[in-house]
Amino acid sequence: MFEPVRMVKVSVVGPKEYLEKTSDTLYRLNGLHIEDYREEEEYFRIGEPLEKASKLSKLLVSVRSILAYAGVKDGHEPERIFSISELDRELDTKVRELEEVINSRISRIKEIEERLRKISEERRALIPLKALEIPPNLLTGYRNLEVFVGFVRANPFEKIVEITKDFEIFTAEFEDELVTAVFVKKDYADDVFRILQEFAFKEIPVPILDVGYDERLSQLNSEESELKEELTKLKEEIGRYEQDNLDLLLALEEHLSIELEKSELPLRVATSKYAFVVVGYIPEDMFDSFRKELSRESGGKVVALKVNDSEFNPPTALKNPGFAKPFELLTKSYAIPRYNEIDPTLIMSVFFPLFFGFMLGDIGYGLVILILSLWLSTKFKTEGWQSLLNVLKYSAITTIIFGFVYAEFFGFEIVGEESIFAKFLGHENAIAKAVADFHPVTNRLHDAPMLLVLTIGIGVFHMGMAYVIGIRNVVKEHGWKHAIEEKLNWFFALISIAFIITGFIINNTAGLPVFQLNAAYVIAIPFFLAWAILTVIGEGPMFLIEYLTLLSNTISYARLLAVGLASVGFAVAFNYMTFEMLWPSGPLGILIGIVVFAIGHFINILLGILDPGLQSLRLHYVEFFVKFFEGGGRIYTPFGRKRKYTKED
Amino acid sequence: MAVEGMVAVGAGLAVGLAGIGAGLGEQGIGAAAVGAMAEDPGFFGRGLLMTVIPETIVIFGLVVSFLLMFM
Repeated sequence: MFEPVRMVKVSVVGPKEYLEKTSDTLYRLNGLHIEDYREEEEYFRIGEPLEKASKLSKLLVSVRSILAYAGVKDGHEPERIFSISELDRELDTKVRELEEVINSRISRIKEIEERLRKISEERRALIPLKALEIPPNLLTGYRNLEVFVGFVRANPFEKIVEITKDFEIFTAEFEDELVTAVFVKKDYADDVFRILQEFAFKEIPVPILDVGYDERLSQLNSEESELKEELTKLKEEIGRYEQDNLDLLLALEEHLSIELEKSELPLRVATSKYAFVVVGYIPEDMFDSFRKELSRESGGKVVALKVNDSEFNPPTALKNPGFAKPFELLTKSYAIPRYNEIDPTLIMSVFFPLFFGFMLGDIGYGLVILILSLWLSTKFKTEGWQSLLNVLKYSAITTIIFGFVYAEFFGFEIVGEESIFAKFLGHENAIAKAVADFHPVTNRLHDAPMLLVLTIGIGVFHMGMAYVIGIRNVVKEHGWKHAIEEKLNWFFALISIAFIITGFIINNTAGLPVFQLNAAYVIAIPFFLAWAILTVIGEGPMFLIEYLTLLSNTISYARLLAVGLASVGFAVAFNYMTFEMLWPSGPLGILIGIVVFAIGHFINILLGILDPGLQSLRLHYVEFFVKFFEGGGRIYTPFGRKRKYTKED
Repeated sequence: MAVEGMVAVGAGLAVGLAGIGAGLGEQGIGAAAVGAMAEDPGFFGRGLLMTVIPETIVIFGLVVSFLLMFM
């Protein structure tokens, strides 16, 4: 449960003629994590992909390019599932048919898009030219004259006069810029061009037209609207065709990718002239059925053997009970546990929601978050979202439970003299009287110092657990000596810190000087000395400074209280503004009060999801994981996959 | 000013100044961590870890203000 799935290393050996068949079987069993064969030698070489591979990949490219146009939604559920034999029979014709229908349209779409781009370019040139009011046929086609047409920053007249007087200039305002046409003798063209450049000249390509600007523009407009109409029609046709054939397309894509993967298996295995060897890892409890199935499918020609060699480096397949599964996402985003490490997911699945609830602790907020996450999980179907929303659901439940512990409902107290019932129904109301004598298990605002001590206690327990796991991990990997010098010493340090803080609290509550010796301090001394000696021996005197880090880690758990207090503070403030300040001041006050109440609690709930979530995650990542979790494992990816759009016969 | 008033001001300063300090510390780390995450989303865990390290100082401030206010 705490360890990843136990693996065995196996090699699958058989004659080469059976490789294709074996590939099918392995894929169907979906259990072998194949180690790619890399080092080629004289006898064993990397295999060649099966013949059909190149044809398959060509077909796959076509199908995928068509699918790229369809835009499949996440979590699409197929209405019809195709069988493999059906797909195989019609593979070529189906793909060709799809291509014919779609590709002709796609190429026409590309043509239209190109033409539309040209049209808008031409229009961009025509509109400023129109402002100049010079007919288009007068702007080009001179033998001895050069015409510069374009935008300039300012009128260049004065500067051009300095070079030549034989020129003509026209300017017009156009959208904050100046359009100009300069007619000049070819002899002066270069000099004038240089001057124009000083004025940030931007040339406009002059189209050759035999009609006026207005007429040309209306021609362009009508052509454009025709093309756009055709474009939408084509896209609709493609869209409709693809929606009608979506399941087929997805089935083809799945089928082809599977077949391609199978036919490329030889690239990952060692082959000799007559035989092949596949090496990989498989979960221990799958091995027997795996071996039997392989041998049955090949009539005893292909065998699977357990391998016991020095290179045992299995991949990690996390194994957790169902309720803890969503938390694997959080573990993985920190690191993937190595095969021999403890997988912290299960512990996290208990403590993460507890911390979250401890911080937020409000019946109202818990209910809102629960409903919100239930609703969102019907909308977002991808695996990642589902995990995240499940984490949120657990957290919402603990929030409600802690809400009862603190007796809080949207910041109001639900029991006691000043309960929500007394406030709204009056002190004489039956319910208000009934709850008046109850007290919450703890009231966060009044019992803050006590809760502060409790959070530190939780921290000591949580990190103590981390060191126990750390000791186990190091023992497994490097032996007891290392475990004592690297982990046990810090466990002692943690205990000494716990007793020092206890001693501090005892003196404080008794009103004695802070560092006067008491029983707790005395108990801390031997642990402190044991830590110091072991650390100097094991890690060196430099590491003594780390004691302070551990101290700050311990105090860091005070955030469990702090975040909660902030959230209560917000809620109480909004309630006060609404019901004490705005409500009594008449109808307008009530209206504004409702708005303040809604916005305030909305913001507080958003913060209430984000902040306790992040802080709880942080306590796990920074304070908890660092003490034992190194990570660096490889994720277990067996050869094969679960079919979604196709089925085997 | 009464002693209680000074204590309350001190408690406020302890949290507020520590918060500013942590914010200044986190800005650079946070920017770098987001950059690293853009390159490789797998950096999320370690990025978060690095980013929140200066935050501890706020907790110190908070504990100090608690000691001032309640003890």
